[in-house]
Amino acid sequence: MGLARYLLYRTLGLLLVVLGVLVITFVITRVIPGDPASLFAGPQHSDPETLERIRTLMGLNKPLYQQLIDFITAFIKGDLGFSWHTGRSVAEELADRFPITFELSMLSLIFSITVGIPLGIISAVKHESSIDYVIRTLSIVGVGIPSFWLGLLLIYFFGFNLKLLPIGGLLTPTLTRPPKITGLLLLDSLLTGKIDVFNDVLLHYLMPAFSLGIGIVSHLIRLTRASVLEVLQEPYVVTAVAKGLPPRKLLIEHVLRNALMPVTSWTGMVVGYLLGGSILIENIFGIPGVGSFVFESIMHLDYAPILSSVLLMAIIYFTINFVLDILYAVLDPRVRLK
Amino acid sequence: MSGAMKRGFQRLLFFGRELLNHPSGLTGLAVLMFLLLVVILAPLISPYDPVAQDWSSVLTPPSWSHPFGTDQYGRDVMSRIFWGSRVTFAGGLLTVLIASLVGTTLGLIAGFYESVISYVIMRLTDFFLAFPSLLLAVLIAATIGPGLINATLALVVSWWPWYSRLVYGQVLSIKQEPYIEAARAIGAPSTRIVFKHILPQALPPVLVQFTMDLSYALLSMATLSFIGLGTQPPTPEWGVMISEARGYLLKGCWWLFLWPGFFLLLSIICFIMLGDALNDILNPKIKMVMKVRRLRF
Repeated sequence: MGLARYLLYRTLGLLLVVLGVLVITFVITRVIPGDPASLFAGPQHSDPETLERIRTLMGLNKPLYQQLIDFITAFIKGDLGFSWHTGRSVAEELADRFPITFELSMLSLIFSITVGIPLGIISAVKHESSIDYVIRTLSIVGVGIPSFWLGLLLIYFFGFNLKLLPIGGLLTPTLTRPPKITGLLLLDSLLTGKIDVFNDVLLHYLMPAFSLGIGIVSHLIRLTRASVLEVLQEPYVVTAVAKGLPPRKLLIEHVLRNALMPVTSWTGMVVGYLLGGSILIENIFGIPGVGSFVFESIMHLDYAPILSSVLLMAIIYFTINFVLDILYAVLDPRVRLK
Repeated sequence: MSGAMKRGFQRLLFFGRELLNHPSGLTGLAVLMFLLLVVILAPLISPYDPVAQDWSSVLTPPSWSHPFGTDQYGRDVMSRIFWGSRVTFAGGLLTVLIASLVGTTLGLIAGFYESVISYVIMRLTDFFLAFPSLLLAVLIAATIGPGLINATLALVVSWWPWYSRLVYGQVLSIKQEPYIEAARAIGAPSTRIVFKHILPQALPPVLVQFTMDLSYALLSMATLSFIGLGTQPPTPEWGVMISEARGYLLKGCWWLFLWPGFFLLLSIICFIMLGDALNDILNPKIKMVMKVRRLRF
């Protein structure tokens, strides 16, 4: 299959998945609950008059297939509903909050990759040594540790006991928020030249990014280690060793090149983990991103934001995976031949 | 002893022997056995009633009378941990059990009958797999309402496709084996081929996945409870306990959140270690890796 045909094939696949997920979400949210109107209205607004208004507004009196079409077109138009617990439209809320979640996720991702992959390589190259055992033990603990619990532990030790790090929020109240350019706090403060704000925000991001990233670091260690070990026993590695290639050169040119491919394909899964984890971590550290919006909406039984945010997160997840798949196909032509 | 029972017994013996040579797997199993004992004996070993409030000893740090301390209502944290283990374990086990059962059945059907049914099942699997599982579980649990049973249901819905895809792939490759053709040639009925020849061969990776998933199920269950979508207070559950402890974190009440998280982490780690061990035993390919020479720098 040529690259162009592969692209077309995958794009159609992506559209199909998004459509499928919209249909599944529609079934979960509109067909399964006995009375979707009261679900969307929330417990405080359940008088018959409001419910009737919501029913007409949501088109619940129309036939089911018409509702499905309306549901999909509204979503495409960016009409994501109204959040009564914040009093704003969900689209507005998400526009404000998404950059923050993005920034936090990126920091976690950078942390995970720069720590996880090197440790995995060391663990594989020095396998069955004491370093390997230490790294493996740590990675099992890291995979298993509940991120929300780790966050609380960190707050307790570094924030409450040692008073080293801020326990929540994004900015010390005495500092002013930089003017909004991209919505990314770190980038905006750099662009406007406010180094003190940049440092302060970075300090606030440290513990959340660590708690969110530690699970990914550990998964990456385990994956990288397994992958490198597998490549190390390939015949061509034996040949290279026999020919007297220096180990460092062997590792970089023969082993890592082949071993890191499967690891990159896992990056897509990471996005799902980051988005899911942000619900917990942002809430614990009081970071006003999409994740804490979902959490607060759950607490308030504010249904429309939960639905739209989760759907949006899912679509971001597909899109990133789609881009990664394409990249993967470009890097490794064998993938598109299948 | 019938043939099948004897074979099953031999298999178990084989597992046991292999596990004895696998220190981390054995450790995981031993600790899990201990935790299982706690789960079973919770009513006997708990020093207090897990929901009984005692206003004379509110928020007391660990002491001889309350080894893990007491919470904001004077409830004994140790008893709540013991009773909570039942809820967390039951929810996690039930989730993986149902998800694997549903997923395996659908995967078997899809793999064995290559027809429209197979196509429908696998596309459905793809759609569900496309959703990040925690997000899907959150959406479902928020729709059908909080509670232990509903949280279990939500997790099952987001987890079965992993099994159906795993089993589907297994069945497709097993079907190519000569012994399946041989069974067909001597006129064995489909049900016999599926249950006698395909299923036993397809199960080992499912078993590994099952053990690994138990760890994620415990974590997801506690997570849903922590967000408020799982078990509701005052029922003792580890996720709920951590969530309730948050308000007392900055008052220095470390014992409130330390213990539930510690036991949760311990159980999760043990399931991962056991899963890794099973994987090593069932996939001898990994063993070869052990023989790879270390690179010297």
